[in-house]
Amino acid sequence: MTDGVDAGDPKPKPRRRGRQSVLFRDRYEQDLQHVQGTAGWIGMAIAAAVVVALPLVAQGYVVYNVTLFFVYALVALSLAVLVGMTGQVSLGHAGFLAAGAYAQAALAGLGVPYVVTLLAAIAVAALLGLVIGVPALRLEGPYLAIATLGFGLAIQQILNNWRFVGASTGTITDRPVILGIDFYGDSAYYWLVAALTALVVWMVLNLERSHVGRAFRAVRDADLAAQMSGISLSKYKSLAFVVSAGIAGLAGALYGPLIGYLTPEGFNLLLSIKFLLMVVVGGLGPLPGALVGAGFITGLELYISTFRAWSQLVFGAVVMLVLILEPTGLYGRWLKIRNYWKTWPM
Amino acid sequence: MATGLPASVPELLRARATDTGLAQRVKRFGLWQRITWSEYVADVNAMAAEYVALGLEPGDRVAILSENRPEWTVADMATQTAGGATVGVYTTSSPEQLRYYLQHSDAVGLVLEDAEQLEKWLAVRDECPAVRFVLLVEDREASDPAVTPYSTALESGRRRYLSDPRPVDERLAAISPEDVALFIYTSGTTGDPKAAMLSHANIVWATEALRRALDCGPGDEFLSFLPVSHIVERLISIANPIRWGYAVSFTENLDTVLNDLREIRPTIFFAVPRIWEKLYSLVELHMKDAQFLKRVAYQRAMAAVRHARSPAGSSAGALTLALANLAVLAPLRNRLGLDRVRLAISGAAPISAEILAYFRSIGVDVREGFGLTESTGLICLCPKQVRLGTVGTPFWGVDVDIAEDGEILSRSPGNFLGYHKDPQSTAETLKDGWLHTGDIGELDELGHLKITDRKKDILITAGGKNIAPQKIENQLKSSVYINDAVVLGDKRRYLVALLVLDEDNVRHWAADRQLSYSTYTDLTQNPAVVSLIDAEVERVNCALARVETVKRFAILPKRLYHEDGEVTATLKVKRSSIAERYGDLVESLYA
Repeated sequence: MTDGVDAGDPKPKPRRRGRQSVLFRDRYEQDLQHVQGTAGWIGMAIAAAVVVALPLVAQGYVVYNVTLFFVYALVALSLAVLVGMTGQVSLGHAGFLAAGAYAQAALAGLGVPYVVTLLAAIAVAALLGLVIGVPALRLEGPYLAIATLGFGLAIQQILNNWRFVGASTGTITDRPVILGIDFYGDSAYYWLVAALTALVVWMVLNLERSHVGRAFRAVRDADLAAQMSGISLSKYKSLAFVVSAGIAGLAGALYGPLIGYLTPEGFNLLLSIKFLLMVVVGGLGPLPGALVGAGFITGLELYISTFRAWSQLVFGAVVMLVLILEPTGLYGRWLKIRNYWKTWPM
Repeated sequence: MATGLPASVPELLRARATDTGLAQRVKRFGLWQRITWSEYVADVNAMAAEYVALGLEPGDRVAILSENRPEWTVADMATQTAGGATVGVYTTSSPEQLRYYLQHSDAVGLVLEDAEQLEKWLAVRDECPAVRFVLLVEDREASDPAVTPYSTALESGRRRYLSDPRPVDERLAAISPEDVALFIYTSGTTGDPKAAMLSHANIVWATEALRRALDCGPGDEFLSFLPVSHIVERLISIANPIRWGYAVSFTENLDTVLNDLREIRPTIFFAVPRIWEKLYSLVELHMKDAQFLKRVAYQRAMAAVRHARSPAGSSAGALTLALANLAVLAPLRNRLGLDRVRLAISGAAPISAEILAYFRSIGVDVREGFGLTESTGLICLCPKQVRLGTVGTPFWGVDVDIAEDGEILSRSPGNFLGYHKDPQSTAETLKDGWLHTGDIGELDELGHLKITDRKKDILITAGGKNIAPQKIENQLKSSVYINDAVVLGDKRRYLVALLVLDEDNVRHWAADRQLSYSTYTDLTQNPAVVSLIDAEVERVNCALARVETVKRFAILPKRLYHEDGEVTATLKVKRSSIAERYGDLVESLYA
């Protein structure tokens, strides 16, 4: 009788042999987590620390511009819900921004507490979203773009002629005091906006993975099939408008106190187009694309202002270049790069 | 020698009745669901109680026609617990083959997986009166009054066992190690399949021998995807985990194996050469299409491995190798889901040394094993230090000897009881306790077994040279474009080969070159494809002795199917059947 190969210890001992694969799923909740894995949490912690610490280390104008970026990011997010998730185009988002800004400013002028003005701004914009969203149900593509463009221009005209909100001369807005805490300083206001932006990002991410978010995407990808599966097109299309307008309204309410002075000219068509550019350049579809796009466009504008007369030309050229080189947007490019390394070496 | 071993696997399973550890995982609705040992035992007890109530007597057979899944293992262990023997039927079997298995084994019960398998049973049930009960696992798919849903039987059995466990417990206690536990039908590359009868003692010995060779235990992970009707897969995914307590995960189906591998990251991986060849060609083709950086990194890493393994390897080479491992090979293993594999085994058919060398170079030491159904699957296994070209040293308790005509003989506690209803074949195979394997081989100076060929496959050319076709066939099969090869030339002037294309890879190749073709047959006749294969054959010929070279070849115009009798259920080519069926084609190669 020969000896066995590699005769082992006759009593087996349990042992750990490395961690479970990140792909392994035994609960659906694992797919729902926004932050996955230790690396994800470390990244989150670093990002949060940078955001919180920025005013402590950076100069005032940087803090101001990053706050402006947060406001734009909120509008871009609102467009991501409407355009990216649901597939409805809007060229009138400056209108919702204006509605939120003016509503907040007007109510604050009447001595209404800040938190209430904020909620009212969201409500006013959302209501306008419903008003524009319902007729928009019958419109698609370029027709919807024209309709929303008309809405944006109409809002601008109304503000231009409405005495109560200062007509064409505009209105002054003040930084708020909440529960005795003064948010007048740039840093303080920065933290307020940053916190609200983070809250909205979290809410929109949750919306995306909920049944509402799935219905939005179903409407975008195959409206007929979605309808056949029991998704009410009118309900979800108008809901997308309401949610989107509400977020834009909140952005407006934060925008006014940030710049301090509102005029109807500030909410022109170019601004609406800029918002649309943010989501397209960032990458239509995935939500982080809106944030990336907002950051890119805000940063680009700051940088090209040094080109003076040529700035608009350079701006246009850079945007065209980005879209030609990467139709899926900056975030799409990032996903490709990430995937390249994730699948390394095969 | 077999003293001190447990009596049977069902008894070992019963001992896990209170174990709440993980026994099995199965993927349903995209999630891996856990089955604990205690749940497993409870199901087995319930099903055994139902079998007894349905009239299963000790020694009776129950056939199972299903893909691997927990219900398979329950149906199997319940049969053994109730004193019966299990007959595993390959899911690719035709209705005609099912009829043969049922009639030949005198099965009294049949467990079917789904509507597809139910169809087969309905086609032959009039010819199988001995079958008294039929259970259907996926009962939502079809209903037939003569078929009981598996879940209904399980529920009913649960109540029976709760009210009175004695009928089952008495059966379990009455099992003797010498009782038949399994009927394993040999793949039958020649003639009708024969039913090898394996005893409880055979299987318990095999688990002991595997443990001594592989050191498996709790914490190990195994992915089950090859048919459990095969003896080795049965051992590793049913008997061995029961004995040593490691977790077995069942894949959804064969198409998801690569994904499941990445999710489970098994520590023990058993595959037939066909799967290893597939993995190899998958990587090679991916790398050919990969972007520049990935392709270069891979080529550099492989070159570093070759350099470090060559005699010229230096300490600088070792450093490069470490770097290559870190930057390329470890991520590659990770991508394949083989990064945790401690024990990679190839068996059930010979594998080419080229494939083994490849996996070794990417850091997966594949150990080739050798065994027969008649030896409970185990005879030899390569030790950790693989000697390429050998199948290693004998398992614990196995004696290997070489007969005068070169045939490999083995004597072990795993040698089977005999063939069912076939004493003549039993006597031919099992003489004085020595199993005649039908393989030709030799033992080298270190006691490693080297297999040259199947005894009956040896060719003698018209020039009088003895040629082992298997070696040539394996080298042909190591081409990524060739899936199967049959080398012929008995009493002929030269050797010819019938080849089967690797469809995926050749289609891919053709698409890259924008070749137009309509059907698979059309593809096999495309001149560009023929010249591609010609180049592959030439490459193989370069490494062969002159008499061994393949002078002419033909590409078979169709795929090979188990149902057509061209390959066995384990996808081994039936040489005689192919040679006969394509006789005209072979003649034309000698014209």
